[in-house]
Amino acid sequence: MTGALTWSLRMYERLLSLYPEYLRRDYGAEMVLVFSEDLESARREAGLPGVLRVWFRELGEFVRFAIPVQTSSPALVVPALTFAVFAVMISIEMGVALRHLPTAATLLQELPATVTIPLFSTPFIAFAVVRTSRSRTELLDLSQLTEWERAECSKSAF
Amino acid sequence: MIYHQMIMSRSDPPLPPATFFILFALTSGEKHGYAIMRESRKLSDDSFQLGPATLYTTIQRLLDSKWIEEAPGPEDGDPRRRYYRLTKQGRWALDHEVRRMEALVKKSIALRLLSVGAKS
Repeated sequence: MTGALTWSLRMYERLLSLYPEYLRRDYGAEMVLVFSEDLESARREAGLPGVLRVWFRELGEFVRFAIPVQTSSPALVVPALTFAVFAVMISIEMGVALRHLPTAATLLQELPATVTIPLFSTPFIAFAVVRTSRSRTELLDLSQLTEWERAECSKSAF
Repeated sequence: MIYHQMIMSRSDPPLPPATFFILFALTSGEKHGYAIMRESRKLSDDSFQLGPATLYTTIQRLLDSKWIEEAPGPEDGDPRRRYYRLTKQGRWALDHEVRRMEALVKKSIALRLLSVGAKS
């Protein structure tokens, strides 16, 4: 059981890295401490069901706090979007191929050609998306500015 | 949104459960995060479970609103822990919320939605 607790703590510490920065920075150590005490107490009082209950609650918190942060980050949005575009293009190409190629053997012969177009176009789409998100992030990241710089920015048209 | 500014108006919304139970837990004295978590669970008869992220997000909001403040913990305590205690504003806000609930219960009894002493 101690092994399970150690594993749980390691897992929680990893998950914590996906939480909002203010929480990790100001309360990270305390959150780990609170989680470990809660887990230990749940194990003492209810055994495995207790540990599972703590993890179930933690899953809810993860969805509420970490997922919104991650889905607003270009680091996740860009690959997800690229993958989605790639998957859609592959599906369209496969659909067209299946309609025109009656046998599976012929389809397999034509598969490399079918995949080629999306495969080559995806990096270009990814590049365009990365450029767009990066420029958006740079524009929006006003928190890094000093008070004086922010005041100057607000005077300008920007 | 600063809670203590919100609550000054007559049409103030009820406190969120996490805020209410953290303030409630601190009425019996200063506590660290885990003690607040345990106390709020006890006060709600295990019906309200606070997780670490909800706990510390709410604590941060309450500190910003000056409803709670950090307190010096015991000298031999764990240095990783921070202790918190209610401020006058926090106590006032909790009192206000309890009165609001009391008024609701009285109205429910008057409308026979709730009978005193009856088992649910």
